[in-house]
Amino acid sequence: MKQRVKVKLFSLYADAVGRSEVEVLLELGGRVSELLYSLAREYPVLSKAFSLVEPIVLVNGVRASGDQLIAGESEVAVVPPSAGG
Amino acid sequence: MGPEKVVRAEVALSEVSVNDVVRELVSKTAGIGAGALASFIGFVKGLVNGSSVVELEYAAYEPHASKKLLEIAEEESLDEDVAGVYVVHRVGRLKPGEPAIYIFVAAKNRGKAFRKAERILERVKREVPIYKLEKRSDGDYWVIGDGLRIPRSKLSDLK
Repeated sequence: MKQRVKVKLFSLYADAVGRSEVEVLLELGGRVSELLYSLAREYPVLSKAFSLVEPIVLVNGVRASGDQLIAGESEVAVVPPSAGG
Repeated sequence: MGPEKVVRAEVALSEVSVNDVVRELVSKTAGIGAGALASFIGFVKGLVNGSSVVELEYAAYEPHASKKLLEIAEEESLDEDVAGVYVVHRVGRLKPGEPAIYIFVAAKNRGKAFRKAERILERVKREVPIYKLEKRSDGDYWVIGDGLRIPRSKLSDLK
């Protein structure tokens, strides 16, 4: 079974797509690495942006590894390395 | 130095009144053993790679940015020689010369205050989800991490 996951985008990723949030189809209980794969497939421009800067996935605001599972209610964001200061 | 420590952190739109912060930190920490206050202010550069900067646009991923900022301030103030930590990161559009980040550390001695302020700065730069667009005379650039710049024109070429 698949679920649609809302993904917040920041910095160059939001700019590349022209939106600050996109939706992607993911297997229920899918992993972070699968989310990135699905995003790259559904949004080719993101795939190219990912090759410029390796993306970081934040789940509920916390950096997630590729094999982490994404629960249905999670808040997911794709960001580049922070640029504060 | 016990539970009376001053620990504050915020993501803010406006400038900070430095004199007010210094007065408050000194008055609240002198009585618990502090004798040194280090402050750091990072401000927007007017010249980068030979081009003039028009403005920086900072965006924070909230509420996570505010939460992480406070977490860093709390963790770094656990040090027994630290009496007060106040960190502010600004967001929105900032012109050259405008302060973007403030770090204040009140501590038992100068060495601790300086070292702690530097450590907090490095942590904030790396860990807080804040992103920036640099608008320059030669075009707009997304700033990635501590210095990589991706021209926006390169992104439109991807489409």
